Amino acid sequence: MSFFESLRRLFGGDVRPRTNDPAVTQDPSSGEDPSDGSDSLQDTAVAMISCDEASARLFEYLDGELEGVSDEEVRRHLEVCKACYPRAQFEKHFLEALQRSQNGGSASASLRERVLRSLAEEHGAD
Amino acid sequence: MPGDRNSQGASFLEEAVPHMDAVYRFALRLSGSRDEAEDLVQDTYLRAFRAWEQYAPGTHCKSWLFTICRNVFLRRQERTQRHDEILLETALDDPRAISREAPVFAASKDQDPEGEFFRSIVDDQVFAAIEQLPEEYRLVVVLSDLEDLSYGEIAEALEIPVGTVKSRLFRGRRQLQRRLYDYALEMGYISDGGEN
Repeated sequence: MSFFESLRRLFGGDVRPRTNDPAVTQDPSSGEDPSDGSDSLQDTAVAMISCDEASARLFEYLDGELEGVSDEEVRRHLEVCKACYPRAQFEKHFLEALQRSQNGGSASASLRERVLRSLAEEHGAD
Repeated sequence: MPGDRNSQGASFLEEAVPHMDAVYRFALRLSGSRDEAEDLVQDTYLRAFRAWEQYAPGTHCKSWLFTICRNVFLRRQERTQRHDEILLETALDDPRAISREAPVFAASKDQDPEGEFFRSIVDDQVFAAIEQLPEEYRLVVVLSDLEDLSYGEIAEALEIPVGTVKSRLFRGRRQLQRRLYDYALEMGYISDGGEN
């Protein structure tokens, strides 16, 4: 059991050092990890969602669309779970690649002109 | 009244016209053709303009325009051919039912567990992979990941339940990951030692 988990058991609440970045920017394998690589986080004193739940909610978490589970619950799971952290990073890098490719083009000047002209005609025809 | 009409026209120009690039991109994804996309945009704006009185200010103008654009597209499709309704999803509206479906992550986790290879893939290749997705997945991926619409806005635009948005997004992203992974293997960004 890590130092912070011990503190958590004694005092409750989140006693891990807080960072400004979301969990997925922090590498849990470089710090304390209560799960010692296993898939279970059942020994934590603070209510913690399971790996299955975290995994199922990962996209919703990264999309900022969580319902029923708080961002904090998922973030805390990812902070301490060696199994789920790389998965979160994996999905994050994937989504970044998609967002980077946002180059589907734009409406040409001639299309704008055409649309605006047809709107003007419609407006005049009212 | 002319005054009302003028102010309606002005509010349309102010609220709807700035989304023309996004509507064009959406139309391009729907039709796969620049010419058809331009026709779709023109029809969309014309219909939107005629229906502007029904638009409730403060709602999502972009998703409202996407809804119109998609309806225009579907009507055109129906006119020329029977729209092929492909429903690949089964009763999988709950993402939890497919939460373990992460084959690419599983395949690459030994050598690249955090998916660094995604960073090496050029934008055009990502774009091409999106283009190859089946339509029902492509649209939700485009609206979510490229146009930045919320699940609720996508549901509104495509007139489908939010649960369906989630499951299509999930499956579309998984298919994309597979395509990008295969491309990364082909390009040597990653080796297939981790697979099997």
